[in-house]
Amino acid sequence: MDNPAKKIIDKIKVEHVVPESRWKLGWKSYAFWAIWGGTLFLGALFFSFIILNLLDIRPEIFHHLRLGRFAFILVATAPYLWISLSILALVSGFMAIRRTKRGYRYSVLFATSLGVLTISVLGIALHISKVNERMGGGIFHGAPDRRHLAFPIEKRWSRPEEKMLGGEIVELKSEYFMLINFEDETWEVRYFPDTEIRVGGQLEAGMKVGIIGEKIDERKFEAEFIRSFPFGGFGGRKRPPGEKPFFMRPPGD
Amino acid sequence: MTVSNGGDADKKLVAAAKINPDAFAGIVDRYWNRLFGFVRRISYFSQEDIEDILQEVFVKVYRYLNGYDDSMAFSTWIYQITRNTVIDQIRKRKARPISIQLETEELLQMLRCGLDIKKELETSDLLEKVKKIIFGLPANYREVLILRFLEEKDYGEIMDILELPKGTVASLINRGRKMMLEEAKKQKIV
Repeated sequence: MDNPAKKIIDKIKVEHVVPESRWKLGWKSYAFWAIWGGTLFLGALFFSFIILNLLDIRPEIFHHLRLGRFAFILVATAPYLWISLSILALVSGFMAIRRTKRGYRYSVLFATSLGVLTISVLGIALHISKVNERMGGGIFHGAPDRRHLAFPIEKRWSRPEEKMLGGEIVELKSEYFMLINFEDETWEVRYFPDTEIRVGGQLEAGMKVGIIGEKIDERKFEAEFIRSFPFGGFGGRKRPPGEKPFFMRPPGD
Repeated sequence: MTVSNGGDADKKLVAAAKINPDAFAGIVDRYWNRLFGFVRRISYFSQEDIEDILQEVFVKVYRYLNGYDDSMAFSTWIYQITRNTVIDQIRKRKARPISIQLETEELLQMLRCGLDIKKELETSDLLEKVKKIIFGLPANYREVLILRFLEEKDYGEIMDILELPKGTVASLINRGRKMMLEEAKKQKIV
């Protein structure tokens, strides 16, 4: 071709081609960065719900339940919904970052590590700022039968045959208390001087507790270990409208 | 207009072309032959087709000038646009790039560089064997080897031109070289 530069310049002039704006050329990339940020934020929120569901795992529980039984319960009641959604957010974030303008430069290892790190750090920050507790209260609020999908921690403490019972104390006596568990069943829970109680003070009505012990009869339970639930927003029974927490003086007063 | 030095000259030409389209002639002059050779090596198009494709490439380059950033060399960016345009054309024409056009010296250079052969190869009796080796490579391996050994691009540039992670580029080059070596052993060239 003779003088290709002239032909191209002529074409540019005849067709009125002009350099497009940086914004117009880069909007897709900016959009994918925004999607990346959004998906990782969601992943962090889901991760904070995972944290919320695992807060009750403490060394004392291993001690009282033994590792094998606790591992079984943990697998059966792991927060699979949030684990799946976190992984989905991580994968979506990876796909979004790869579609940014220079996304191909990030290796799978780097992009995945960046996603995991961001989700973990932001998830812990959301947990510390209690965003997960505040938002979690509304999840499946209108569908209590599905609530265990979001918060299997409640299901985990609804296994009296496997030594775990949890719920809200509604009446307190010197040797026992009445407890309404997460399935709205009323239980009589006996405790003894040697029962290990870790509730950050004394037992009182309205308190949400997790108990490890033995089922001794229908709706009767003997406590070996009592602990408060690790967070306040969950674990309570559905109190009918108008009902106030029932308070009694702690035993010994 | 021809400018002999590298990246700075490109940057000056880009800045000038944004203001005055006539200055874009400098970029066309600078890259026309290099890109012509590149398109010929990675595609099966005729000379007229390549010229048409390159016209399209340069109009695109002009339109996207504001999208160029300094995180890569201008030459890498223009190669990237060229490659993408060639792929689009291959798709449009619904034909497979089965017979790329490499000249005898290019074939031998690829084999020498790829297998790190120092001695001169006797072309007359080896040419068919070398052709068989190079054309027998899968297209993605052949393309990466062309960029590495004929276009003499480094790994970072190839990464940007092919829009692949650097690890993938390194792996393609290594595997491509191994394939060449195995075939060369079979053909008793090495």
